[in-house]
Amino acid sequence: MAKTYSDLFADVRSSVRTISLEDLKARLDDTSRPRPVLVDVREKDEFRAGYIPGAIHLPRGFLEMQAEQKLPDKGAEIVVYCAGGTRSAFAAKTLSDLGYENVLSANPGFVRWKDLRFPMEEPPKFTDAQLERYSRHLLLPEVGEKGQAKLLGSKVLLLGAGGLGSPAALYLAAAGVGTIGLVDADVVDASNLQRQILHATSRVGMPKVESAEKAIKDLNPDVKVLSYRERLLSDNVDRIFGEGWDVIVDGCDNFPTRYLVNDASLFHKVPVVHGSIFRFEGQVTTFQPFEGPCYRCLYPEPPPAHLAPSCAEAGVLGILCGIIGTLQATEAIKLILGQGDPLVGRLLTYDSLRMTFRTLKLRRDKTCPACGENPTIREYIDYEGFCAGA
Amino acid sequence: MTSTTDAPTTDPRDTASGGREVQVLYFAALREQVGRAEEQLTLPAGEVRVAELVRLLEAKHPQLRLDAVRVALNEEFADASAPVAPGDVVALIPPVSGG
Repeated sequence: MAKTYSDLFADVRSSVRTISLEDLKARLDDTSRPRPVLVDVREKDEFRAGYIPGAIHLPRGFLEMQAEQKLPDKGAEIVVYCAGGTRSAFAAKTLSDLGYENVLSANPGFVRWKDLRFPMEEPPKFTDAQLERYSRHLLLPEVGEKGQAKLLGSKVLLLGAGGLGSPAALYLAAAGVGTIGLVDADVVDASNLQRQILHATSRVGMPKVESAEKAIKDLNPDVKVLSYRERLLSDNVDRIFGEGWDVIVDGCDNFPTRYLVNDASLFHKVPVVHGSIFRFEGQVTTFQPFEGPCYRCLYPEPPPAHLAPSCAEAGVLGILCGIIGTLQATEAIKLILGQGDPLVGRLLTYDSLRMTFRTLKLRRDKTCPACGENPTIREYIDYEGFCAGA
Repeated sequence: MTSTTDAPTTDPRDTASGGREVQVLYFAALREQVGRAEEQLTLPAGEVRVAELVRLLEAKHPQLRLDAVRVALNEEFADASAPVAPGDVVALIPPVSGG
């Protein structure tokens, strides 16, 4: 005769080990032992209303299909919970059947956990429009809701809304970086449009920060834009850098500003994603203050001024800016998400003609005047003079 | 069971110039100054450090300006006192500022 639900549940309950909520809390608070893997098998809507901190969400309907992907260690101690202890018992039985060796079912479950006022977390809240807009990010375990919430809460400062700043701004805005700062004193010129894809023919003559804000807002209204229509100098850098940026993306176009950005980022301890270009070639690296090398560790001396032609003098392949600027945006997003290996201590070079990338290792310089053991640069210097005198 | 047959290789040390060649890679504006992206250079006898290699290259190419240029040996930045060995790949990388 076929089993009834009561028979089935009785069988499962007799074969599954349980843990009380008090014991579970004590177990999670005990930092001397490895934390058990917590698995929440409730439905999505239940999970969204709150969960035990650190829990992996694996709805029971997907348990068999996703268990091995989300719970790769079959020997790990696993605690499964649901709302009241029934679904978690069935789930624990299933996991045991799948070869998980050390599975417990929390009893009763999250409803009681909440009543006991034990710690809980709520997933970031997104609007329906945001869930749709960022759906391809939300699917990535390395981004997900937490990562997307980090992006939406992040602040990235772009130095220059030109060749490098254009692709970087567009991709950072598309990714949902919540606040984008733009520093640029120029107006849009027709000769910019071959590479500065943030701007448009209809906006020639408009300040670049204003044109950029229009493009960014049109792409993603979630993004707040802070505009600085000024040239970055020693006397405004502290005001601009002091606004709590998570990352600075340096796409400026001259050496004095590069050295100023370096020194100021060390004073303010903000990471800088550096990008620079010359004709068909580009360089990208990430300066993490006092953890990796800085710009002065890489290039202690500026080149002689007559050997440092600008894009206006030397020309530049427009699309090169797209490659280098999007590499910079990638680094910025990785830093915000805390994912992957940033280019700290590595200079990436790109040659568009030969289509080659090289990565060159770089160490911190103990004698660096800005970030070394005995720094001599403790305030801003005359950067124009420093670069002109080389 | 596997067996490997080593294909005949050319040891960079085993050349007509006495096997003291390095491969020099020029980046950015340096390419235009020397008119090529890379070349082979034969090291003089004895110990050669990065600073001396830079002087040799400037002597070979009078139009080449290596002020502020960083040297990487085998994909790693090296300082002026680092020894250069035959077979090394020497990359000459100038700062560029365009944005």
